[in-house]
Amino acid sequence: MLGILDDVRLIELSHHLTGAFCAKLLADQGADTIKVEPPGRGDAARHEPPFLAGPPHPNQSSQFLAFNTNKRSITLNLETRTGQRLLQGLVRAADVIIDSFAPGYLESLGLGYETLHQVNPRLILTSITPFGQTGPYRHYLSSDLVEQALGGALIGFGDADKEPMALPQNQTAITAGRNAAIATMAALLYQRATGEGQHIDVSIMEAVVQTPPGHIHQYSFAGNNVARGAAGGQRSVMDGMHLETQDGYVTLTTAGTGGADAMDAWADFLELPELKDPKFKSRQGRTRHWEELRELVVGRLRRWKSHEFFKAAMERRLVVGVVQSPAEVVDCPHLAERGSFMALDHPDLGILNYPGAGFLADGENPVTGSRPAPRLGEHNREIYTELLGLSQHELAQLTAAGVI
Amino acid sequence: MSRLPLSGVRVLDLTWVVSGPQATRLLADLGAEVIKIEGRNRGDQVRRMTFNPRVFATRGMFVYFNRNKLGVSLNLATPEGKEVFRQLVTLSDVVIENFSAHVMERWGFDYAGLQAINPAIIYVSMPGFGHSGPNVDYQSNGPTIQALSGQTFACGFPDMPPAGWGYSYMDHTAGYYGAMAVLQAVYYRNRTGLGQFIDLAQLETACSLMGVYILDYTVNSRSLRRPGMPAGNRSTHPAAAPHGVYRCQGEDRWVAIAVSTDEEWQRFRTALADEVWHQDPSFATLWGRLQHQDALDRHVESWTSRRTQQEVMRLLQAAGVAAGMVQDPAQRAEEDPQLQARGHIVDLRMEEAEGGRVRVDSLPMTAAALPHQEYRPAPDLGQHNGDIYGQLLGMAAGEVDDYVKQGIF
Repeated sequence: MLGILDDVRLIELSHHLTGAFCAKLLADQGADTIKVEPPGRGDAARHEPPFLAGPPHPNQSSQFLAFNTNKRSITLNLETRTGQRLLQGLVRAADVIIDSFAPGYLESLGLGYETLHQVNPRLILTSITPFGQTGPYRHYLSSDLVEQALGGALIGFGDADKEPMALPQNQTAITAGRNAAIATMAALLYQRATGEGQHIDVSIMEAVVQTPPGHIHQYSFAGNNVARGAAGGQRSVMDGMHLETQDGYVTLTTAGTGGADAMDAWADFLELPELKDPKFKSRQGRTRHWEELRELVVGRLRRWKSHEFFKAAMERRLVVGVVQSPAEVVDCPHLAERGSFMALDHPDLGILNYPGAGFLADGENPVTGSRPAPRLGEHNREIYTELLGLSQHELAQLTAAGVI
Repeated sequence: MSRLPLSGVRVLDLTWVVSGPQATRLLADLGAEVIKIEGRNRGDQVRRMTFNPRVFATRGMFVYFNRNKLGVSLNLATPEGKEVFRQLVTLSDVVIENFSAHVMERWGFDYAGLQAINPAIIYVSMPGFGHSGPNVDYQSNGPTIQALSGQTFACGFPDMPPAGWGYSYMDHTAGYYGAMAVLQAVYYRNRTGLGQFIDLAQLETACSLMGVYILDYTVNSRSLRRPGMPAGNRSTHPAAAPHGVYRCQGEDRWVAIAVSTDEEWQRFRTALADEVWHQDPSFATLWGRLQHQDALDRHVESWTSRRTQQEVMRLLQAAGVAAGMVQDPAQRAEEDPQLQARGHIVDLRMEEAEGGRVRVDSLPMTAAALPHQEYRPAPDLGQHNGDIYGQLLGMAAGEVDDYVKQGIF
């Protein structure tokens, strides 16, 4: 077990998903991560479905559980003077604060970067906001869908004759949270070398700008203004589209034939000599004749079951995918043999299956902690008494006053 | 140049195409010295790819992914080439590649081989299926990984076949994860003196984005695809209506609108001014709007389709409603005031381009330790052979020339 970041302490002030994902990526590598939640309701994500094993419950939202592994939870009302003073105490003991409040909110509480920097000059404040801390849109209201729109991912997804189609499941929050974790790691390296902290400003919109399709460089180098349905859409039969088999869908590509002409290889594999027609040779040609091509290929795919097709084609060095459901992903023998998933024991829900870090380190899943997401305020006592030195009496008073 | 977070870190970059070069682009932007190593005859195949054969036949995508890097040519199939690589490994912190699983092993440079040369080396390998498991010998690319990870299954409109995440979503995402793994490994090496082997299976990276679905399935055992799911552009959590993408004036012009609470709905109504349909009491509550979502969406689109994207966004944001234009690359590169104000779109020097510059997006994070600086253009194949082999390894100029003639460089 590596525990890469087990000499780092971070405080997560974020509400909702993007800051939570950033903190999770660092917490999973061993950083001591204290999640600060408002007393009463806690993180907004605690109240969002899908809920696990029953009716809505703030400790059982899968959104919350997925994004908050290996953290300790405390409650703290930042809108009280005492709450602000207690946070400053935490700041003295922390390397990193992660926040995803609207620009200006922390300043309005007397907890802006300048103040926090005076309290702890080594502190890294990582702020994630929809549009960044500066610029004319910084106070615009936003949402996952709006970020996908303005950031430019949305225009490229979906079919050409339909409206643009969003990616599911808060991918903008995930993408920006990942960027914030990268920036925080860079700042930690800098802090350890120089003793200096800093304020990192991560924009969700900018995270989407760099998400394919529709890259700015494709436009500025070659004048391409992305079209929906071109790559991965309905017209790309052999280049990423999803095609029916007997029992599901598979994804075909023209990659990986080791220099042989891809369409010749597919023609041989599918026993479809028609695919050798020169009109199908280039991607442009295949797009032009996509309906004819689709009919030919799907006619053959109906003879196959998805996973048998996958194995047979991959053994021939063709590159294909099966459109797997979450059930198939959880049961995927390849991921199982690699140990990609982690089983964490939740006190209320039992064993939960979590995806790991996204890579293995020295052959093992590098997620070192074993905590599922915390219950609201689960660690108030240990953090307020052990880290900040409050007495049991003070803790009780602050709890009664709604500060904690 | 000011100190950057990865100043003093040397990366031997054997990556090609998209996912690996994306990782090393980020490392170079963060200050690492990235030495891109390519075969003399083939080079990174992206050098030959192009979006438009008439324009920048050998550049384009390559320039974007390989800015700020140094370029050397090296034939790793020759004994002399292997010896030169060994010398580079002794002087480097990180080796990174995205070949299929056994390529480095065949050259004698798997992790054990690299460790024997430099015990503290950080080795990052990024094949689609990783270095273990039954599919280890299979190849992959963006769309197949997206399909296998469950991402594709989760995307689309209700009662329609699964839709994709475009072509190369995971190539890019894996690149970011590769960069993050390097940053963490360098941090750990600085603490402990120990290197490590990062085995980054793109399939595993894709699964790490799917935690909510994995949990929902493992505990609730229900299918993600059920009536009304996946929800397309509608939002079930949090519940919201109107929530979608609506047509505007102009060809293929759209706006995204997200209204959730009843308070937001009242603000939305103030922007509609003289319209009457929103007074319908069945729309007054979130529950009612969810029940009558088809009718609601038709009304909203009748309003947006008579206006430009800009006008809809401006009116709704002024009223306090989350709304944004569905922007295409040209709009982001040329017009977007937010990206311009933040300096996110920068010019990259490129002699062949009109005016000697092209526009690209910069590092998507801003901080004092990450100053925006002039990016160096991507290297030509072997452009820095003299700097690296001559100055770093101390080879004589004549020797470098001989190696070029013999096909070793």
